[in-house]
Amino acid sequence: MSDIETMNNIITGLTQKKKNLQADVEVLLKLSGINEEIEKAIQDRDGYNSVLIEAKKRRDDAKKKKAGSVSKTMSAIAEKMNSVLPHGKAVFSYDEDDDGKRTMLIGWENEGKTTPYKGLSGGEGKIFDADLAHVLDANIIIVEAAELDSENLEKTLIELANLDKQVIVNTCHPIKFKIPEPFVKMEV
Amino acid sequence: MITHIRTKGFKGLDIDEDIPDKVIYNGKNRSGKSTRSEAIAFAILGHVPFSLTGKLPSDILDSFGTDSISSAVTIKGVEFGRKIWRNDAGKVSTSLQIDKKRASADIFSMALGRVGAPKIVDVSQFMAQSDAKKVDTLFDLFPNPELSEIDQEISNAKEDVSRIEKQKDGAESTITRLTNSKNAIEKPAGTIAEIQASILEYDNKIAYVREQIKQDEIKEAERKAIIEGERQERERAEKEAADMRVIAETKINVIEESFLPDDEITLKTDEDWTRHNIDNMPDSPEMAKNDRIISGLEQQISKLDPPCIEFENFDQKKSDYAIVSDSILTIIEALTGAGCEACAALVVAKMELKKFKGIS
Repeated sequence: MSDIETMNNIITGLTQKKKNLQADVEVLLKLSGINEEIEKAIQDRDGYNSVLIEAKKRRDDAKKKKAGSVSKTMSAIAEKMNSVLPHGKAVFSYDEDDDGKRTMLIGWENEGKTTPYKGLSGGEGKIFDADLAHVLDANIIIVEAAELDSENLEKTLIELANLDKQVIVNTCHPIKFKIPEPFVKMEV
Repeated sequence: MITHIRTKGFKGLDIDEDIPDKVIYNGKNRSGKSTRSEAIAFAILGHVPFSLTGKLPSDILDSFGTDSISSAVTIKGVEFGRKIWRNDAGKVSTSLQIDKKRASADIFSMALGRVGAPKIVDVSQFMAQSDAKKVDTLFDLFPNPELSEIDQEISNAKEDVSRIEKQKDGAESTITRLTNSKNAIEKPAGTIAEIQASILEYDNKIAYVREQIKQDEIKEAERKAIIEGERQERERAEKEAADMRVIAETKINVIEESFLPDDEITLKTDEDWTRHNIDNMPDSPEMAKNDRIISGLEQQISKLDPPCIEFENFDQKKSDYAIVSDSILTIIEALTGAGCEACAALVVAKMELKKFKGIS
């Protein structure tokens, strides 16, 4: 092999090494590009995170605001109900979860214990129904009072007597108390 | 306010009586207390709440076990009557009346509105609704003007949260994808600057070797030109010598031919030649002259012979140089193959190789 051939071989070897290094540079440049993109994506994510926190805060604040506003409405409803309930307090509780599902608790609080509507006794249920009808804007209130004891019937009549609504009460029990005016008893 | 009720065949009762504003119907079971309430509700609503009857007229007739019921209530002096009945063919019909005159459902409803829109609420029906509907009903009754604004605020914030969460998820996905791509790439050793410095170094080496090749090629061309010149000179000298040899040999032949006997003598044996030579002894001045001429010519011819020994020596020397040169080249190849492009050994080998350039 001649000297020139040898040197040409050396050039071929060196050129190949150079090409390999150039390929390495390309890989490093590509990695650098990917790193920049990752960095940008991380910045984007962090940016979105802070914006998200703000948006969630806005949403939660609005929810609290709504809860407060709803609470006022619920208080107004309960107040109307309480005006005719013979004892205890009506409970109207409203909640809405993140998915928009709304839940409503309607119950009767007596001596610090709240009984949901479905858990009310027969007599309590009839009183509650009559008063709830009042809340629901009925102008003719019908009370099926067969399950009301005398005391509760009297209290209910007293409360309903003041309403500017027509009230029809049905009971099979003898009435032993003085019927509050303007109620009129009709024997059937 | 309902002031009067009139029924016919309503759960078997025919009623026609006034109703106080606030009344307690008191009586034994099955005395008709609830029937009055149901009849009032039926007249106004068209169905019977607080009972297990359905809302369809046919269901009501079936529940009451009759083919005809009617009920009418008087409100502010106007009587509103409703009747449902089933004919012989089984068809159920409804008839509405205002002051005993037939009326359409719309007129009936409008007329009820004009007298104060009596409203009987079926609480059990309300409570059987979904919580969402209960809320809607209550908020319809207790309107909260700021709620719609707050709901819009919540809705906007939720949309923002949803949109930003998607964007954030997108950024997370991008990070994951790019990180996976990055991890899949084998990172070369060194930095870009270091590698580029190495590339520059290789460029310099390549340029250096190329320059060496260029110089070698020039030297090789010069060497070949010298050899070619020498070859041409040698050929020219050889040709000249050959020409001169031919001339000298021609002259010798001419002289020698002059020694041949004129007569035709056949010199076949040594004895013939001996006798001939005795006859032509070189003692004559002419002969002696010819001998000197021939001797001179032969000397010239001998001088015209190429310096064979010297050429043989040159070739031998050249052959030796070639062997050494090849050995050095073999060493250079080995060094290059081992990645020793710039080591001292290679530099020394190249310098040694240069000594033989132009010789081998």
